[in-house]
Amino acid sequence: MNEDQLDHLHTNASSNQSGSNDFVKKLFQMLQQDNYKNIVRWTKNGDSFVVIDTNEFTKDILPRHFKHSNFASFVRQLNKYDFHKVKISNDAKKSYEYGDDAWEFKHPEFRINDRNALDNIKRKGPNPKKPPSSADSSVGGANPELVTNYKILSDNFEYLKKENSRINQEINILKSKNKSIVDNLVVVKSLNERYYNSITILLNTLRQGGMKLPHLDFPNPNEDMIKQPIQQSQPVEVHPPTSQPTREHKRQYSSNFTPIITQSPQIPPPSTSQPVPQPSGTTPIPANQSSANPTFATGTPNSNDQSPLESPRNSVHDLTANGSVLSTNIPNPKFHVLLVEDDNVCIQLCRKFLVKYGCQVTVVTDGLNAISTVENHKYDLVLMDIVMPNLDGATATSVIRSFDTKTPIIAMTGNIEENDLVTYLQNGMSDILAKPFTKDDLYSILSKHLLGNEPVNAVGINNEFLGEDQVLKKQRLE
Amino acid sequence: MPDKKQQLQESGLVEWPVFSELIAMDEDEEGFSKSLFKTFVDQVLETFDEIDENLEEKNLDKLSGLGHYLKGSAAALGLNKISSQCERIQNYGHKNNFDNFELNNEDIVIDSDDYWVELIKDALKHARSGFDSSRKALNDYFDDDL
Repeated sequence: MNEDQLDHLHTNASSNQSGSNDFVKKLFQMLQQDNYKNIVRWTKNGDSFVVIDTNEFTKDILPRHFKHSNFASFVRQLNKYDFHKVKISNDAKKSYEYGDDAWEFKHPEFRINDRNALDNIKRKGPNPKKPPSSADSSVGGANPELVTNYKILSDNFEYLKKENSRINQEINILKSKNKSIVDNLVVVKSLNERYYNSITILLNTLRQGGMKLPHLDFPNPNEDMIKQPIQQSQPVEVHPPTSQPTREHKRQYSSNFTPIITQSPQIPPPSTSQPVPQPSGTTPIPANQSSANPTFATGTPNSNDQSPLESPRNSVHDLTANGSVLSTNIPNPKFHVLLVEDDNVCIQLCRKFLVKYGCQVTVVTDGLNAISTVENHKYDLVLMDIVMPNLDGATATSVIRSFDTKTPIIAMTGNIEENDLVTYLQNGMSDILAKPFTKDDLYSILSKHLLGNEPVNAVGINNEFLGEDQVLKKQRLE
Repeated sequence: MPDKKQQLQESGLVEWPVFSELIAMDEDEEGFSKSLFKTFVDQVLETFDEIDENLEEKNLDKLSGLGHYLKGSAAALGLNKISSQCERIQNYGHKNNFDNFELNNEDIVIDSDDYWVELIKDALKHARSGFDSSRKALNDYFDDDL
């Protein structure tokens, strides 16, 4: 074993022959040289040596003779050969000629000019007598206050380390609990909806059979949890006559615009007082407009010339030209988009845009519904609002990502600060659509994520967004 | 009709690019834009009431949420005079005086809940007046009572 190896392995007892003491020989050699005497030297009596300037010693001499610059490991090695730090009492310190910072080490067989005695210095066996005392002897006599401080610090450090790992464990537990709670909520919610629907059917059957029913406290599970006037888009719309029509309903029925009713064959017309039971309570309404052909390619370009609308219309036209490519590459030409949004105005507007682009649209109004809906149906794309009742869009997305990693989920948000965006991407969002958005903005996102695998279509748009895509990918990596 | 368009445009109450995109939708479905604004008007009236209630209770978090909610719809319709005030409500509700608004009332301790309630009241006042004038202009445009 050569010296280099020995030095590098000096802390590893098993790699060392116990008889070999090259370290001691090197130390002796070093001390025999006179030119280090301001840094390290034999003491006057010649029965110990002292490191006077630990900084210089660590910087210059250790690398030269021991090929490292770690004073602590030098001291450790001395300890292994049973050298001891000479303790200088506080009183003696005042008259100690080598200064406050000096470290004096001693071994009974280590004496000036006595090379033969070196052979008697043996490396201590691998009996770790007293690790604490070795710490003591390395720093022991230096300064009791320092030692105490060091101990306190190292205790604190150990404590913090334990705390940290404990907290991490707890976070993981909480995470998994949270996930299972959300999952359970989804299950309970869909169960609840099924009960509600069954009871509705039961009630209607009874009523049709001429039964007179008492007034029941029978809230719609979908409406009960949400206060805001967004229930028009909830999958379950039918109220049994026993429940009071809500304000939203009155408004919906009185308004000229009744999107759900016109778009969903499942919903009875408002004039009919006889409700139709809805067994498909958890099935959201496909708001597919009959007027628009439900393919992306045939979104009808119209002849109006207003400039803000110019570009999307052209894009649609491009797609129309390449329609055949579209239909061959995509087995089902209908793009089915799930819109998760709690704001009624935004729902109507966004749905309108989507339908105009030939997408079939399903609307749900909170994160929980979004999860259960994506679980049960396959969508080509999900547009996800962030701030919503029941469960926010970011959390919903991270839950969805636990079982569906492919469906593009686009965050629609007014918060476009960088931190928020990074968070959204970390939650598994595929992209971000800043609110409020125009038809063009929406089109860009759609074409990027729905037609992105088709370079033939809307080439300009894909190229235009390549840069942004890369930026987003980069952010995700960070 | 062109006159009405011009009149509304000159009122500066709506972002014209957004609005013209909305009314272009009427080509597919007559009355679409009007119904959208009708929905919005109902939503605003309801939300204003809710804001009033929560001001009573000094429920700042809820107020911030309501501000955010209305901000989104107003912005989607290009009603920026309203959405900017809603943004103020949203931020004040989070105790963030993002526009360094100075409240001229020395009786109120800065940063107290009352302070933020007062700021929100100011924003709500402006939101209301923005809404009233926008509604009037839109009524004129649609020749209807929204």
